[in-house]
Amino acid sequence: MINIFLFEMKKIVKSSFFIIALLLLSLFILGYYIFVHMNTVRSDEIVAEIDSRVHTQEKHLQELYDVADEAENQDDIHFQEEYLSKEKEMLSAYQEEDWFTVLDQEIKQDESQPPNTDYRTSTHPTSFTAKTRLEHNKWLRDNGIQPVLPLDMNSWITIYDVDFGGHTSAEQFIKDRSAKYSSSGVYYLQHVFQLLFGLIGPIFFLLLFGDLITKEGFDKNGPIHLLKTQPIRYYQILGGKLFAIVVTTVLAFSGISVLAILIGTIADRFGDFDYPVLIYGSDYAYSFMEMGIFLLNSAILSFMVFLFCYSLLFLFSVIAKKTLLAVGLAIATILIGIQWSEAITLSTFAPYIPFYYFSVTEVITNELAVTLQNFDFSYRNGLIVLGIYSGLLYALTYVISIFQIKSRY
Amino acid sequence: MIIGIDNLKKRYKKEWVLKGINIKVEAPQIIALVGPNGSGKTTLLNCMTHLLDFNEGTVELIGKKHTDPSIFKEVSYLQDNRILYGNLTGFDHLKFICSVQKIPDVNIKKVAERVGMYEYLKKRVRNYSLGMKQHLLLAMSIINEPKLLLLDEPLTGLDPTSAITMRNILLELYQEGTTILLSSHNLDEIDRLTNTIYFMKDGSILKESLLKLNTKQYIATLNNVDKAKSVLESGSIRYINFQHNQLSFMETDMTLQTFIRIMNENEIVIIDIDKRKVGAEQRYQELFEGVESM
Repeated sequence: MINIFLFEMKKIVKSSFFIIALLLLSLFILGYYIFVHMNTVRSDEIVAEIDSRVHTQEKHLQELYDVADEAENQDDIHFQEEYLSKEKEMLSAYQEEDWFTVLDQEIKQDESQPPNTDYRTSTHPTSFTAKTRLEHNKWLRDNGIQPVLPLDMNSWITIYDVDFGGHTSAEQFIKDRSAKYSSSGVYYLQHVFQLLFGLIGPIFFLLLFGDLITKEGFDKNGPIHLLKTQPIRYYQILGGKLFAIVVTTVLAFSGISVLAILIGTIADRFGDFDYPVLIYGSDYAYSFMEMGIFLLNSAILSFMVFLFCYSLLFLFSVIAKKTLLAVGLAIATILIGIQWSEAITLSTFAPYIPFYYFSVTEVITNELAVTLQNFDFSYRNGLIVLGIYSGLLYALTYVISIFQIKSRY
Repeated sequence: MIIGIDNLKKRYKKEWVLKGINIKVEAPQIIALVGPNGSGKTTLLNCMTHLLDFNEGTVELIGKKHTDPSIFKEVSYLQDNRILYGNLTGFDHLKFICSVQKIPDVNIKKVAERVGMYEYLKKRVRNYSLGMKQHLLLAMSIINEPKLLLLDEPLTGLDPTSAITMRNILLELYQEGTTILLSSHNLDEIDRLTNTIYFMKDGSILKESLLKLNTKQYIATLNNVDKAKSVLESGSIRYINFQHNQLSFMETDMTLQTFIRIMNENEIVIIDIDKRKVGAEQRYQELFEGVESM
């Protein structure tokens, strides 16, 4: 089968469409990096923010000094001086990019707040949000990791924050501020994964491999006849194609990863594979996963999603026999499937429907499980469900194509 | 048994497209399949190579069941050029066959030179002319030195030089012990290749076509053709109507001496008599284009 696989690889790689599509994908990754780079908050922006606050504070203090004779002002002056001192310390830490001090200050500030153990509230910041933010910052500090800016409370949001006091502008501000961008290599890879491992990626790859089966001309004495008049078996032909598409996808994932990290590293810095990613648990539990593992899990689950999409493509290719029709039917099935799955979230068999697992990030972070209050929507179940459905669809494709051969003229 | 086809029948929807084909070939030879479009030639070749399934009968090639893919180590099938991949080069196609058939790569150069395609071996197939594609298909069919070579319209798109090359290669292969079964519309080329022709019509092989060609045919000009016809018919002797005062007969049906004796006995004057060999084209005309025969 290795010979067929190599031949299939050659066919894919020598396709002009494939080369153009890969070039476009590379250009897209490059273009998206410019967007991410522009939206990355730099320390000098925070320095300017703090600097502005320091100036205002100093002016305010000066006003207080001018009326310092009044006894009640003395307490205020003392408080304001202490605040200014902390601000200046933070300013200096940001200027020197002393992340340990920056994080330490944030942690001390959070720890000085009275503890809130009421998890039932949904007003931002909920106690869950405050607690996870604190632990997140501790992880960064203890592991010497450069944080993705900004770091204030308004830049940290969890799925439990649903009430923003009725202020839509405040809600928007917090949501925008917590959607952080980082142009470092590793973090940029996460941005790329988030973008590609939704619907864009599967659709792009379906278009990329759209003619893998149909170009064999099952219905018109096409190249499939060359393969079938060689000492190889039919299952080896389909297996070789599947193997080739799998390997090409793995290579494409690897290529995208290397390119994203390379661009980020050249334009900014490498980043941290141990950057913490929040993972939700049941009953307000939580944990953190290292970014490297999160990216790996995302890639694996996405790979299974892609495999499922390819199985749909294979099936529709042997049924429709026309590239555009096959790709169109596969995409339509995915979109309808996702739409349909949203309507039956409360069903007991919902976790066994493959379309839920297209939300790769939400599955791995358990956001989907918490939102739907069903922890059967898990990474492990996702791999199993997608694997089984893909296997069944490939088997169905094989049976249908064998039947077609028997009944053809 | 090189080819053993027994009562092969194929139905498409409600129509029988192959109606009980029987072919037995035990020693190397060149056989041509000739027939009008839709007579079932390509369907027969596709059924033989398991590209199509059939309803009844059995097929054995090189002593093995036709469904066994290992037969393609010894059987090659030159098909329509739609089996080629436009993005790949001729070399890529040949390399693939070498890899699945465990043939040394060195054979690629040899076979490319043999069929005269070495200079464009590394070009993409989408840039090939029709003739170049036929060369590649031939190279792909003979690189494994098959014991049985099936060819579907191998001469399509070939210029006279290429057609001669193709013919010479096929004759060389035959002399090396390869059995060749080809379908073609080029009756002149078939005459140059073989005298064993199976004429196909409506999914059947015509019985009389199993006779080898190149037998002698006599065309006699007579003073009373009608009387000659009735005399021959009363003796159940086959003849072919030619022109108003001519009829012809095959040596296999009646010797010249017998014909002269019968005409003399019945006082029919033989004005002239001409002798020629029967070619594929003439036989085709007789069988398919309404030339009257008994």
